[in-house]
Amino acid sequence: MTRLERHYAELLENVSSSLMRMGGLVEQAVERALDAYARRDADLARQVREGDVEINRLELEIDQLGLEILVRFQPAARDLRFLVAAMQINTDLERAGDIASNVCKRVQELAEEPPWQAPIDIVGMGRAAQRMLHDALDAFVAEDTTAARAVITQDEVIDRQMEQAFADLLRAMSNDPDSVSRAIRHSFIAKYLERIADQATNICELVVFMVEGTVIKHPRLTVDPPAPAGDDPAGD
Amino acid sequence: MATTLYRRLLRDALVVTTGAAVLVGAGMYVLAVHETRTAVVERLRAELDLVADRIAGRADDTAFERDVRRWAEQLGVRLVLLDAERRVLADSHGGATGTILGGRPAPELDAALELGWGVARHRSPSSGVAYLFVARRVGGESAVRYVRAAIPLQQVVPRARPLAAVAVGLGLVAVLAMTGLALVLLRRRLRSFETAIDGARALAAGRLADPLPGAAEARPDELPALLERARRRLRRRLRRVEHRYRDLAAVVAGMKESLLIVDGDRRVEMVNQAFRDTFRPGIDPEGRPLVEVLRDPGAIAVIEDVIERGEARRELLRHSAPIQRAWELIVYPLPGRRSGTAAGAVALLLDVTRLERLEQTRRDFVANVSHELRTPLTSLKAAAMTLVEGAADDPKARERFLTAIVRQVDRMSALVSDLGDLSRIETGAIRLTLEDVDVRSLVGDVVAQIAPRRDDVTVGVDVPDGFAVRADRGRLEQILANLIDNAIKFNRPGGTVTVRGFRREDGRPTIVVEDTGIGIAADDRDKVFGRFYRVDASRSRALGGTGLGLAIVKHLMALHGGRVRLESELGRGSRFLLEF
Repeated sequence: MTRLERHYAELLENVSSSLMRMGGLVEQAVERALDAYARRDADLARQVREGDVEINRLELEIDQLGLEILVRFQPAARDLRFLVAAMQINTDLERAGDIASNVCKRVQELAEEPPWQAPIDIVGMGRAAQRMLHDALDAFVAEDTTAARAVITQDEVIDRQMEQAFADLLRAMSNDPDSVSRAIRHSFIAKYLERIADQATNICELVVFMVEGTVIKHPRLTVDPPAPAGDDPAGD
Repeated sequence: MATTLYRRLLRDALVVTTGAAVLVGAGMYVLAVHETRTAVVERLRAELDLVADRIAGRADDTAFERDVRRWAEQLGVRLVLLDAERRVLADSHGGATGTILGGRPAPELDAALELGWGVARHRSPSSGVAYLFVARRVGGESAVRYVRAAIPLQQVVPRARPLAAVAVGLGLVAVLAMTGLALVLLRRRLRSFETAIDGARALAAGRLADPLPGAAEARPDELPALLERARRRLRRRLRRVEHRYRDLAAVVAGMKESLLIVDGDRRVEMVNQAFRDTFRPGIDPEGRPLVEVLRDPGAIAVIEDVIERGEARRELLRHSAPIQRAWELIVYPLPGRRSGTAAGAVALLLDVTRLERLEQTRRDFVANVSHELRTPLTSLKAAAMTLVEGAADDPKARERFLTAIVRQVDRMSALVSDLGDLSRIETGAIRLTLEDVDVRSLVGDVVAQIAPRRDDVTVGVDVPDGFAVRADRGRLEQILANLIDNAIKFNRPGGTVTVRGFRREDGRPTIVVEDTGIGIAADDRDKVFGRFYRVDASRSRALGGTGLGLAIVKHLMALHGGRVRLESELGRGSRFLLEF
């Protein structure tokens, strides 16, 4: 391996390491956001929101690193897929971090209001999303497409849970008008958690793309190969 | 065994012997030329002696011309006769008579004048050809004459050539033969070197297991034997190291604690089996960056700090669900080359979840007991004070406060009795008297006792006739009473409670207590069996619960060798399954 090749391999590894560092922070943010919710701990919620700065910093760092590699080394094939996937996962993780912050914002607001026995299982839903995120990052490290596909199937469960949660919250609101503001905040949180699960799903789709080179998102859409030059697209 | 070494030696030997042969050949050639010349000179001397005899008797210098020419022809040389002044008297090759050689150097003549004869080589001034000159003095002191023979050197040297060729050839043959002989002899010596080299190669490749070939035959001070000694020593050392390593590896593998070794580049060098079992990384952690293996920001921060500052640290890491574990992380730096730096770190992860939980339970328990006792005590005191302060005189108020006192005392005694039960179960002081209990009648008794407490909840019993469970009657009653009481208390208005009994596939009995209450969230499902855990604390207390009921149920079921399970859906209700 020449010095340049070594440098290149090192940079690629930096991307993956920084991504996992960021992933760890996002996982932690989600975990703490749920803890803050369960304990009505506004202080913890504030800490999580403050921690988002570090996640954003890492996002920028990974972005720059990825661009640098693209420009300087113009990687091909698997390396290119890895880099493209990593940069998108970077965005997904940053989004998940933002969403965890949003959860915390609602938790802070809820802490101001009187306690309420919500008819939905926020923590249960959150743990499921957290588990998905965890498994997605594991799948990325292990380049394990089987694990990634297993996570993707989980997404639907959470989607259904969220729909059920909306229905339950709606019922609670109509039964008890005093609970409306808290119920709405809960419905926000439920939506956020579902979005975190979506981000985990995105990550898993990118893992499959990275390893197999196949795009599995939007399964109902197929990408047509580009039309040969000179063909008149309107003529038939 | 034409090895490289032998070939190399062969090449060197050839270069040397060829050089030697060339030198010897050149020497032989020079020698041959010299010998040939000497022979020619000897012959000419003898012949000139004859010529001199013929000349000596004759005084007429002019009559020699023809004779000189004839003699020269016979001898194959050029003959010149000179007088004392070195004037040419006759020349076989037609040189002008009367020419005086005086001015030109002629060392052969000088020598002849003095010694009687002389030899010299020089070029003929007229033709420029190199000649060998042999001169002879003829006559005594008064009538000195010289006769001189000249023969071109060109004619002398070729005569030496065959001789030189033979000499060089013989020399070459001799040198080659000796070289061959030397090589044959050397070859035997070389064999020892060859074995030594093979041995060294085996050592270099790390093949330490088998004795080196040829070492046994070698003398102790020869290379193969020395190498063999080196091998044995290396092997012994290596074995010692391997044994020590194996012992350490066994210790590490047998550890219950997870162990992780990280190098200075924050790369995982080693993990033990406990780590693999506990953290189940989807990859082989060894050689991967730490952040890919552990990913826990807290743990990573501690380990990186230890590597940077070289000081050991001990930290408690708590994780809520889904991991729901507490770890004690102990990190030691691995000493680096320079002081104050670490070449890496050894991280020990101790699962202290149980300890933490026990500690927390103990703290909670003490806090809960005091809280649970204080609440009725406060009420008691308030009621008693009110009575003391005059309410005792008012029959209506007296009635009310005394009732309150009785209720609080009941509550306290229920609590104390539950606490006593729990403690007896935990210390093993309770002995079960097992019998076949008819569940239907037992449930009927319990329901009859409890159901009247709320008339807006319907209790249904769906237990087959003769459905029996092997259990302690009193304790089973306590379990059912707790569950049915909860199911009624926490039900919604107009709700139902159903008690069912059936046998599972393997024939073992299950009793189910089902309600249509508010349900219990997933996060709370395990916790409701803990002491004093209440999903909704204020409501539970208002309904007179001690917070110990389900804990007692759980322990009593365990005592029966069974378990209690909870299935619940928020807003729908809960189902407690007693599995024997």
